[in-house]
Amino acid sequence: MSNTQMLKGILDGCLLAIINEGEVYGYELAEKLESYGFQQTSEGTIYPLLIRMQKEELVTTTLKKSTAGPRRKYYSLTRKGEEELQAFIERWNQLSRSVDHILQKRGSGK
Amino acid sequence: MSALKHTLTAESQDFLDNLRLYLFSSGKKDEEVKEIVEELEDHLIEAEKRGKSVSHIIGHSPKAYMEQLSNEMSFDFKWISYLPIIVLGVFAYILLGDSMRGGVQFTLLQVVGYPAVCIILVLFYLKMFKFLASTKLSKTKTIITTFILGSLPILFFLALLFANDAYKTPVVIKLGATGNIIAALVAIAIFLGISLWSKTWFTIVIPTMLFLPEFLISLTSFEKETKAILTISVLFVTLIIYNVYTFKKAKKESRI
Repeated sequence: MSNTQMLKGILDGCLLAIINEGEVYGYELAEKLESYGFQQTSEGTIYPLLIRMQKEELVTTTLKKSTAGPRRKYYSLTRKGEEELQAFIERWNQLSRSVDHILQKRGSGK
Repeated sequence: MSALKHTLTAESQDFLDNLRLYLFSSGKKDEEVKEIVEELEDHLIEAEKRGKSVSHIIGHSPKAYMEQLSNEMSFDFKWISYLPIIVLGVFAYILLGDSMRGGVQFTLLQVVGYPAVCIILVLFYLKMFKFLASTKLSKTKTIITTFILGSLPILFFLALLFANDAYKTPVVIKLGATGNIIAALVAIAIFLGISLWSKTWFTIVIPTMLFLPEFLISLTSFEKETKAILTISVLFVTLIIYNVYTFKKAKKESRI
């Protein structure tokens, strides 16, 4: 299984978590994601996800004038987005516990 | 905004232009297309300031990335309403031509064939625009493709003309002398109406461009054959010029 396949779904949760830290715009979001170690994915992958999250009303956007030039789109979480983030955290904890469990068990079994 | 655009490399700018054309010909909502292009423009500007390449942003296949974006965006049903208007425009065009030559007469094959050809052409053009926006062709191939696209309507309508001669279907509409004059006026009214509706000049400019030479040639004292050849040549040349012109303009306008 490739890394990108594994990332699907997880990336959504990570974006929600980063947006939850405070209003961000696209480029900033990509940089933060990278600084946390997501370096394999191309930066643009976040945009299709953001469009979908906006459609699902997990995030809202506001356009602000930037000092540099074109208007900038800032993302923040909606109520629904916060709930989805909580659900993701629970799912992730559950999943990572199970995966850890399996990997450790196999490791110690040898 | 224009000052900032200069900082974008040609590769980035090309990608944005092609993305806009791709989403446009996929029938996506104008507002959404504008938003995502603006957002990516901002992203590319920031990234280039830090020396990152386009492929770092969009991955190695622009086409795949365009598809990903397109899949998340909503289709604009306003597009479907354009089809009848295009059919109406072509109908007015045929009507004006026939009435000028004094013989509005349609067979069943024509009544069905003309709208069908229009719809097939429009859908085909949208597909081709999508293809051209997401594929890098060499200069020669682009010119050949543009040429084929430009002559396609003529080929289709000629095919219909031959088919109409080969397969006799019943005549459904046939107008007399007064009917022809009325038909011409109706056609002109349709052109004016579409022009007002679309707030563009082209449904006035194109018929003038196409019919005025024919009308003027018909007034001359050339042989019948010479007239026909002249008319067809002028028509062919103007159509190609116009197609190249609009294609270039569409690409240029998508930059604004």
